[in-house]
Amino acid sequence: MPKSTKTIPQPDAKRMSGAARSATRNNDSGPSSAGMQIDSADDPISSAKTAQANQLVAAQPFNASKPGEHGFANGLAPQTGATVEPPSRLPTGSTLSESNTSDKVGSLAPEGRNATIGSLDRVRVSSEGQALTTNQGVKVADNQNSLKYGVRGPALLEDFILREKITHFDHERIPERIVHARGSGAHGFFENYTAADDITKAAPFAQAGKRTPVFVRFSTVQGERGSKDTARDVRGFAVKFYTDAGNWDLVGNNMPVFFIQDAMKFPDLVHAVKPEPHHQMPQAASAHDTFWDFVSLMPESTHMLMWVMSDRGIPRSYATMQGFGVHTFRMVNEEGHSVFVKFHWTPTAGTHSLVWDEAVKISGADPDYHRRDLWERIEAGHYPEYEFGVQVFTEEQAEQFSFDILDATKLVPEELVPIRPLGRMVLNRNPDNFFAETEQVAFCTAHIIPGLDFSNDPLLAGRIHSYIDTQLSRLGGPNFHEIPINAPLAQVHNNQRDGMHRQAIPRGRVSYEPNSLAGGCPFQAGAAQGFVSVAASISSKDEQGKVRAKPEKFADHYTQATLFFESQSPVEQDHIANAFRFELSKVTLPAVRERTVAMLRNASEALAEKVAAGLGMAKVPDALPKAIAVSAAPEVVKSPALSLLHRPGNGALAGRKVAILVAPGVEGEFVLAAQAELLAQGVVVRIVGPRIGPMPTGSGDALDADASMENEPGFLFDGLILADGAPAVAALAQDGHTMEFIKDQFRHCKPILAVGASRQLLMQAGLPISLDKSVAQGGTGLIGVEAGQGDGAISMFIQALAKHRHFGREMDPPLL
Amino acid sequence: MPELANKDACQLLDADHIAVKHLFVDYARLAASSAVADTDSERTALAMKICDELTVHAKIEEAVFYPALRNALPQASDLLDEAMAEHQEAKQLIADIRSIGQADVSMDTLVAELNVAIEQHVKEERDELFPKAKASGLDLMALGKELRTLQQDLQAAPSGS
Repeated sequence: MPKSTKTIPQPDAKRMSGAARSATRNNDSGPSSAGMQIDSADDPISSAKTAQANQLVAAQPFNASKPGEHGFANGLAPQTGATVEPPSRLPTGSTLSESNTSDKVGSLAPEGRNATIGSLDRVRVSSEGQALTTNQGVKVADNQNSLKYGVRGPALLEDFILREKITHFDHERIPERIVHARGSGAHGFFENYTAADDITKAAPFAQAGKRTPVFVRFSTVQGERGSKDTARDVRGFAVKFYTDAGNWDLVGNNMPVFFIQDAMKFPDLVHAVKPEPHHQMPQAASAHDTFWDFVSLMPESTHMLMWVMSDRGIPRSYATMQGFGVHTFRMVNEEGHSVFVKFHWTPTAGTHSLVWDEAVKISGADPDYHRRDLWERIEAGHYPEYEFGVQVFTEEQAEQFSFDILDATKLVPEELVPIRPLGRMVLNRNPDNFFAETEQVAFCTAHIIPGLDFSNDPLLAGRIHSYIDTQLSRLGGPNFHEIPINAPLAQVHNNQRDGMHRQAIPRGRVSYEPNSLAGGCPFQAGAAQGFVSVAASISSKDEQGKVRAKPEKFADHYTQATLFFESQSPVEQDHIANAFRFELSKVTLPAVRERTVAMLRNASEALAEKVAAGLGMAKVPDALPKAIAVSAAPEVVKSPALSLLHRPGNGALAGRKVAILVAPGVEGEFVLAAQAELLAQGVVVRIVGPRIGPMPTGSGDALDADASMENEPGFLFDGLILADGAPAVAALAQDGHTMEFIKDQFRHCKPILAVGASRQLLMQAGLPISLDKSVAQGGTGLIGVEAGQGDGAISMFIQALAKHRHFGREMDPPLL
Repeated sequence: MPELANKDACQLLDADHIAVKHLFVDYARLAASSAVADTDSERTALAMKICDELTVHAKIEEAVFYPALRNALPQASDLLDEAMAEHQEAKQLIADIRSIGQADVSMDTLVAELNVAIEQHVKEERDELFPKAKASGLDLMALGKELRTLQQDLQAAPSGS
């Protein structure tokens, strides 16, 4: 048909009013004129909606933001998106019928609000006083029997109650995390000390005293969801800050470095350390062939191996280990000026660890040791607390360092860049439900907020991708951000739609931007409020293009491994050597052992020799060739801050556990006095007997033993008290558990207080006579006092407990 | 100091080993936190005590224990030569520590070095020499008494002798 060039005749006003009415009653076409009027007598709301929508759309005759999308300068300071305020709520709604309310649909949605965020109160379920129902809310009359045709007849397919119950049960499990599957979580808060606006505009650091809710998940890396807590391993230390500028996840570890330098090697590393694929062994252990085969071919892992083999690989408690952001990050202030930072968490209770023999035994008697410890500390009101700090340095400073700050196998020594404390974190609430909170929480290194940014660390880049990706399958789709524990406190508004398990019900018909139909909302926030990436230039070698290679300084694989080892106290060095000895002794292939020792030679000859001797090697193998002949001279060759002894903490005993051994005839008054004095210090005191239950005392009263030597073996306690009372001592002397109890306490270097006749139990357990000089010298943590002197010795015992461990008695092999 | 039990030679020497290890551990604990607390005088005193204890210990081993073993166990002479060489190394470290006089970072390093050296020496004695001595038929109780007498004499002498 030929196009007409004639002017089209326009209808008169009366006809137009009819057209507007008509337009509101169908969805697939409308009148051409913009001059529609509201016919107030007939269908006023629908007409108004159409007219207002057109008015709203017409208010944006063109996209005024378009020119601002171009050029570098605009990229650094993106403009705020254009918006038009609608004349009423009418044109932005989904439906005119939203004014019809019910108990289910609720009422009119408040404008500009996402009601799926907010506190967990909105999803907590308490069933007190409630009858049992199906998931559809139908009350269940009989929860004991399936529906059958006659009491001995067949079960009926129509039994929707049975089928719903069984079906839901069948689908209770979700895939476990590939790494960090074994974890424990807690709620708490971060409290800022003073405004840190000189370095960052990030919301948690805005004002003095500002509190930001957090959820923290601690974890091991290697073991599966039900594996032991006390494995030798890195510990995850992941913190989700629910800030008023969105969620920030600081997904750290209890060690500041990592095994590899590039995410390309992450699957290889994890495949090597995980249970071996043919027989799925060993569980929660790195002491096997594939791990040591891999790391001994990856010399950049040497530094991290030192950390994992140190006592930091077996922390006493999540409350007594440090946390680190691992990578270099950036902080950005209001002016857009950025600095590099390394994140540090320092426990107020000090850094304390287990000893290996103890960790092994605990994993049998209480595989939930750290989970229980965290739970019990919080239940008891002894809230784990950590100071948060940053090492701050500029790009120019970083260029001068002898190491590359993009290399995740390197730390920045505190002696080179001191830690600036920013605030504290307190964990003060246990989750209500492990699955809903600790299991479903989804951390991601990509979750940062304005005031923070990434560095070019290639391991970090891979992590930024990996977390979201793995959660898509673990949590079953793209809407896991709506799972209550993951939902931010900040408002969430975007045009992402649909997907499995979607909860939000977006109002209106706009799911794109730019738009004029919703007045431009949600609009792009612009540089003033929104996240803007730091315009970091790739400072080195702009002429370089796409390339798969590492920076040159990444090739220094040993300098910081040496720094770490040389900064440890001799006892800690012994523990590192012993850990290497243990792990490598579990390797079945001598060539893997030798290659590892050859690698260690480049970090410490003394360590390599010791490990070689411990493995019965006839000679120490030649050192591995280095990737570079000469490394830059390090700024720091000894860093006391890397020793666990550097952070004894505030000396508080809260959360530590002490056993008082009792048997019939025990001197009860002393037991009660010791218990009271220790409880006052926050110590968890257990009265441990040959069995649980009432235990008659020497004076005719009774103590209630709340644990037995069978159900709470000695190695679960941080200290031991042996009370006086001849019949009790005689009873304990004939119980083999007593000797194991004492031996383990002694071997693990824990304090022991023995009063009166109970001292003979120490002799019977086999404490060597050669200890006498040390005991006379003092400071052994072994306190023996005469009958009747027990009460006065409790304070000595408390002092000894505060030292955590008494390594003076530690010999290799052990004395006892 | 309370009277200590009579011990055989190995037990007596081991009592020294364990006691000095306690001193080393105490020293390391103080040194690790020296940045946050002034422990200079405590560390100095500990270092001097360590040096005194080890000096006496080396002397009684060299004067009584090693000759007795060399005599009874000709096949252990390599071990004893090695032990003597380790004593020489330790004596040098002890002299260096004494010459510093006042605890500082360099003394911390030397005490740690001495600690490691002694630890290795002790391990060799405990793992190799003591089992041989115990199996040798030597009268270790008598030897212990001899060691103790000399030890008491040396301890009574002025410090640092």
